[in-house]
Amino acid sequence: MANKVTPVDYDFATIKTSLQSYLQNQTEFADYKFDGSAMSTFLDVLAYNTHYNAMTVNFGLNESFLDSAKIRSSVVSSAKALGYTPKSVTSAVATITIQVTEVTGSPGPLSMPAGTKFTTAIDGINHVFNTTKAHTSDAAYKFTDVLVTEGELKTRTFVVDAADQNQLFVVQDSNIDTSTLKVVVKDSYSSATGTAYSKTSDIINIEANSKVYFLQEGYDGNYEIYFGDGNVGNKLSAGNVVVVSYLASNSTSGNDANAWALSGTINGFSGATITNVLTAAGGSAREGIESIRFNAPLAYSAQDRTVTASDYKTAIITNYSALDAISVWGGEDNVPPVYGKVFISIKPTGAEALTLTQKNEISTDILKPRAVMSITPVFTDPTYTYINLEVIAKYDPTSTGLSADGVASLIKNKIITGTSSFSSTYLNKFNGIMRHSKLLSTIDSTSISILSSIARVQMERRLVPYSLSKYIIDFPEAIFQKASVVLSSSEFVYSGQTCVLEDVVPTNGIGVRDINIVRKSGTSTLIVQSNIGTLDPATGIVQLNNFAPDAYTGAYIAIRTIPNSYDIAPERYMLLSMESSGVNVTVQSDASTVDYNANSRF
Amino acid sequence: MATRTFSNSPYNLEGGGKVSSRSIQYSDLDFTFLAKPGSGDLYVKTDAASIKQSVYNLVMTNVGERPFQPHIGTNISGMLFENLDVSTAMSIEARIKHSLGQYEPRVEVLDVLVSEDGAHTLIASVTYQILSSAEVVEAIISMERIR
Repeated sequence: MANKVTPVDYDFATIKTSLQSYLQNQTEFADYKFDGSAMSTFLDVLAYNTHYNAMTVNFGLNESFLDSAKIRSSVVSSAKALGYTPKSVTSAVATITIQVTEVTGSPGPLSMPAGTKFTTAIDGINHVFNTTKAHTSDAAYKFTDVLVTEGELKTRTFVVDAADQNQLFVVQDSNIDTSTLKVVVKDSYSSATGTAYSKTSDIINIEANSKVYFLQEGYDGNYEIYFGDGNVGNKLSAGNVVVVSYLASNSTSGNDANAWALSGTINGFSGATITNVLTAAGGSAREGIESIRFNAPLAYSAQDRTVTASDYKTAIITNYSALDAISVWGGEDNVPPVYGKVFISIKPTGAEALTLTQKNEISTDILKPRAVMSITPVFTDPTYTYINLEVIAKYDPTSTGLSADGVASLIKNKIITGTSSFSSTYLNKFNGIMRHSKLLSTIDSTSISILSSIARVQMERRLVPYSLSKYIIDFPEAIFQKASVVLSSSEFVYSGQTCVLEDVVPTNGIGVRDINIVRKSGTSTLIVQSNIGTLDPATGIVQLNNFAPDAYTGAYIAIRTIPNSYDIAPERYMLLSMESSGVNVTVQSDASTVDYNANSRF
Repeated sequence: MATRTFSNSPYNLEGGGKVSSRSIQYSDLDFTFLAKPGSGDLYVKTDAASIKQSVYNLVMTNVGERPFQPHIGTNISGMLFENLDVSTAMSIEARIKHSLGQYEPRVEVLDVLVSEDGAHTLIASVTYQILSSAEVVEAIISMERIR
């Protein structure tokens, strides 16, 4: 036995055992191994102290690394070393058009300053949206496509202290949307105007007198503003006054606002008709610890430049929070290859595709400052394929107090509703794969009374006809080939008749199929227009030529097919989605759960 | 052959004289932490005195007092506010027997007598036999409410 303490591990019992092993080599105090002895109590104290110190060091070391830190300030601090500033709360943004009414006289084009307020109510709660820059109306007093941002405008003032060389100006407001932050420095309180400072996160183009400020998240979670030291960025002088203004956001609660009223006046006129152009979206909560842990190394590896596809992805995720999913791929991987371009597909929060304004915003504000000359970003709207389900389940009525309809409702909720539903868990994201077995597991786990289930799967794409009348619809999965019709559509009017699309079954049911426009009359099918297009089951591509319907019900024409595999894996820009109307659940009672005569066959 | 040394603790052996003809089997620090005059060394308890100190420690330890060892102790001090009746005395007796049986393998408890001395003092008289020497010892442990 070595005559020394051997620290094998740092839990209390091991340390105490180690100390006891050490004491075996002496005869002065032989009672160390009896729990009631003073020596044993001493060993408790020593072991506890060592254990305590070891744990403190362990916790401290854990907090020193981005991978293992648990406390937000530790994660933020590690991220800061990587040049990453966590995203703040983000305000919802809407687009509206304002027609000022009851204008008297001929004032000419009206001007609407930044900070003009508009009110809206969401679920009975009032919210205020603001313009963030000045706008000028047209000659008819109309302001078109004005962006309004949710939040309360707040201003804080700080005085530069000569005695504090490293002064941080702390904005004590956890609701600050830092993207709306404006910093103005005045010479003194009495100065009427000041100089606007802009935010910077790197020092590449900063000179000694550049009017820039830096932003970081502080130890207490508040954002801190600081300025240059005279070598990198302009240094402030004692007595200067820093005026900070920003919007204090209500996070996600501003989303979905779409009815507006002018608060106050525009050029003195209070009458206004406001049209909602784009419903408010993009309000998001402050970036969480796990998100910071994920994004900071990515931002660092991109070095604020966008070269590879993942650089683009990182740049957008880091700087644009109003998105649910993003897919980016290089032009060389595109089908067909397009060299020198990078393709970006984004599913924004609360909408299916980015608006032109949002694309321009991302392109101009986020990508352009980081782009290299030889690569052009191209936005591709996500293509949605809706999964329709016909679910049939057997249940044991003795295991539940619910009726068959009640169980069916439970199943449908489990598939569609809520953040833990099948739809939320597996679909609505790029690379979100529809796995049939996972779906059945979800259904079977809904209730203990469910004995078995099957789910028939159908793919649906939605076509909004436009003037070109030629369409290529690429389903994410090959189409099932059988000796009967596999393609159908919702109704539309063609040549004055209510029609649908239908494929022509080829010989043996195998091979490319023609598509006809047909009219259903009882059980018979009448061809209205033959060979309007083709369906290639092997590739899943449906092509329609000269398809120009006169009218259609609803916002689109639904085109439905049966997939060759019930597991459906979408490609880059494709998203799978489900809607409640596309999920039909039938639950049947299984008369006996033990008798071999149970009606267990579907 | 180590030299036996007695402390001035009240829990050391009383009387009996010094025995120097056999080796010391048990030795422990004296919990009073008094220094010897002259050398300044701590006193050491040995054999029966050491065991007696251990018995006293175990009886007076509250459950949860020792770090990471939640089962050591009797929680008797928590019972000072109970009525001193037969059931309380039996409970104290059982706890002492259990604790010593579990954590003091050097002795066999022969008897535990719980009594009251005046209005505020509880006396537990623990009689045990030291297994290695067959010596029978009685440890009288008194507990007093201080407020």
